[in-house]
Amino acid sequence: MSIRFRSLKWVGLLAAVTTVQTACSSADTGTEELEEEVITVEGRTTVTYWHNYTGKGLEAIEQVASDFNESQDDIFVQPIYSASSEGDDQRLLTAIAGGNPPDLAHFDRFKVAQYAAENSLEPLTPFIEADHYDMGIYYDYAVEESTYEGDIYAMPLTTDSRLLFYNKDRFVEAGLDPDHPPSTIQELEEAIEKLSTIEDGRVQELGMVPWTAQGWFYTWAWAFGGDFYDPETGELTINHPKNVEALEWLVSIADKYDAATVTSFDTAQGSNEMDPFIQEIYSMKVDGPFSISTINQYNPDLNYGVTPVPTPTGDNFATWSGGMSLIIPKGAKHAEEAWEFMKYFGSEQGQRTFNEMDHQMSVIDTVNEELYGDDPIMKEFIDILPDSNSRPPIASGQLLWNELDRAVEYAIHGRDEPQALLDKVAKKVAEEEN
Amino acid sequence: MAKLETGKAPRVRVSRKRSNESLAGWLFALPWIIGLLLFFAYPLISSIYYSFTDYSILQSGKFIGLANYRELFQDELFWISIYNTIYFAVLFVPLSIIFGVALAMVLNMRVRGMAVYRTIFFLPTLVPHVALAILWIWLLNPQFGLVNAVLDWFGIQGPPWLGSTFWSKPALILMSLWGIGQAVIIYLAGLSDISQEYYEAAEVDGASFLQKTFYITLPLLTPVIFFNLVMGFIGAFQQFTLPYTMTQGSGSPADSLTFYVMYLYDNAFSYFRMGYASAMAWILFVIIMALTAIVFWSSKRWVHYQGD
Repeated sequence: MSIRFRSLKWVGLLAAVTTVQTACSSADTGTEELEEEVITVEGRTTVTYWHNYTGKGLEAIEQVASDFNESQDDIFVQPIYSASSEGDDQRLLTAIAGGNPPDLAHFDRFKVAQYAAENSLEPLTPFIEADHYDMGIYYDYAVEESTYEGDIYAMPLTTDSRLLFYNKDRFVEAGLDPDHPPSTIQELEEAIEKLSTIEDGRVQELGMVPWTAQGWFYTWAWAFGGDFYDPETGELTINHPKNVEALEWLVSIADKYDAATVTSFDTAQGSNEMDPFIQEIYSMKVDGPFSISTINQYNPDLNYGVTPVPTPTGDNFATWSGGMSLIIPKGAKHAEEAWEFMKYFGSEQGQRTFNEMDHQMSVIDTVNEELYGDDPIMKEFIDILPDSNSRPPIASGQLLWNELDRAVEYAIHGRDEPQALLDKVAKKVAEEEN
Repeated sequence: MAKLETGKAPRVRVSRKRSNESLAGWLFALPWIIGLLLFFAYPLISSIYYSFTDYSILQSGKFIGLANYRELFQDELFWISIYNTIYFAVLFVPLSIIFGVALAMVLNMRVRGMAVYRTIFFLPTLVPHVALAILWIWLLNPQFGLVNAVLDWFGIQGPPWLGSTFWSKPALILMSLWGIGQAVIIYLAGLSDISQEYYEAAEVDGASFLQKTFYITLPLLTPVIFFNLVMGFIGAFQQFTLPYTMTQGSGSPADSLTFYVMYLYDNAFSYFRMGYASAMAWILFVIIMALTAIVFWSSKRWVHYQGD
């Protein structure tokens, strides 16, 4: 017996030290081995292009690549599926760290600054200057989000925005006017109250849980007229007085409906067909255009409308946008050729092909007008884009995101005061930035 | 490290003569030795070094001495995650032992169809963590969840479980207790190891069931309890998958489910602070090591081996 347990200390050692390694593997997505042999075409340079699309998106990417390949004789772009998600791009991370990256990668614009700060992306500025390429054709915020310390590192491809979805039938039932959705915060509060049914501590239905779906802190802070970043000076304004106001408002809603009750009710809500808005348990939510296809798929008869996120004054509507882009990783072998494909994908033609097939919003306004001008719902999403915001393109963008999320949690659960929480986030991010 | 041995280590005699046999042995073991050195010893040693640098995975970083460790001790979230982890371990490990032993004793009775019951209690252990998380989120829903519905029958208004910062950890402990099948199997093996003679002797002396349990079964089960205690602590301190999938990595509500390894993972892969994460890993190692040492040291007092 005693001999058997001598090995325990080694177990302890293994267990503790392999924590970091197991953390990597636990996030394994378990995709099957795919053909990744690099194709060589006589007389052409092959550009390898990693993306994480399947289904319609994959068809769209392959269409753009083959159109480009047919348009000239020197370059062959080969799209390669590589599993990754928004928060987890470990394959690309290790490929760049190991000095063996693809020539191109599909990449969340939100992460551009973080990777650029790590000196892991090829700056595009020299190419842009040499070709006199006009970045002015894209929405300002999309270029801003692709820029780090004065250099551009990414070619913007797609975008989104956030609006208030509201269930017209429920509005009628509750005696609200479905043609005049709430535009001020006060109207929103009244609507939430009328649309909520809570009987002795048991929630039956809720008008809205403001901090769920796409109701991130960014959404409400900008709606309240706050801001996070001055692109001119590079100064962060995380504890902007209006941001504090937005957080105070979220706390007031949490207090009114009891944060614990609402949170546990919300925790059990699912996504897709179990989405509480689709189930008509919530009558309103803030969400992006990506939720439209889900509604059409699981509850096509849902009678809903979209409207800008209400603001204290009922005007100066604001939203924010993310989206995907193309990057050239540091150490790519064919950066010149990759840039040629970037220009094609970023052109009106490439944008139209891809966004039409994948039903995404383009970063060029004329393409959106052409694709979605007749669609009453989508039109709302594109009309607000010229004034949209992007999250601050800073090295600690991910940290700021998590910290803001944490601040909202702490605030609604009454752990601390909004002002103190945002001051703390500002301090933490400032320390990390310097 | 060296003080952990309970018994005396068996001396390995090294023969002076390098016989062909031992050379062949080393040759045969060589692939594994190389593998161990390359994929285990090397990363392990480098992670010690990295914990003194600002290594970011993408950049090798420079040597910054003890700065990571100093910063950790001022990092609020680090302490919150330690508190959550210790809270979980201190409650979960003893509970899992109490429930595990009790369940093993029940499953050790000679009843017809016992194999079926044993299978039923082992099944939850086979459920993947992600599925387990989703299942329990439903069970614990305060509106239509089974748990609160049962409490309702007894006239108790159930708590909002995963929605409240107070009840979220107890909810997680409840979920984790579901997966004690592995430990129960080890207890069952331990129970069947206890010689029937003791019970027969006790029977002759007219001992009651409780006396048999506390004077025979439990003392003779202590080696197995000891094993499960150590393994339980090591596992509990590395709580990751269940809370991470349940809260999509956020540890909500309000960081009440942010465990040590979750914060470590975020630092390494979301913030690119691998040096900082390495420092965290080594601190965790020291904590687990110290706890294991204490358990080993105390085992002399309460672990009884048969025949001693």
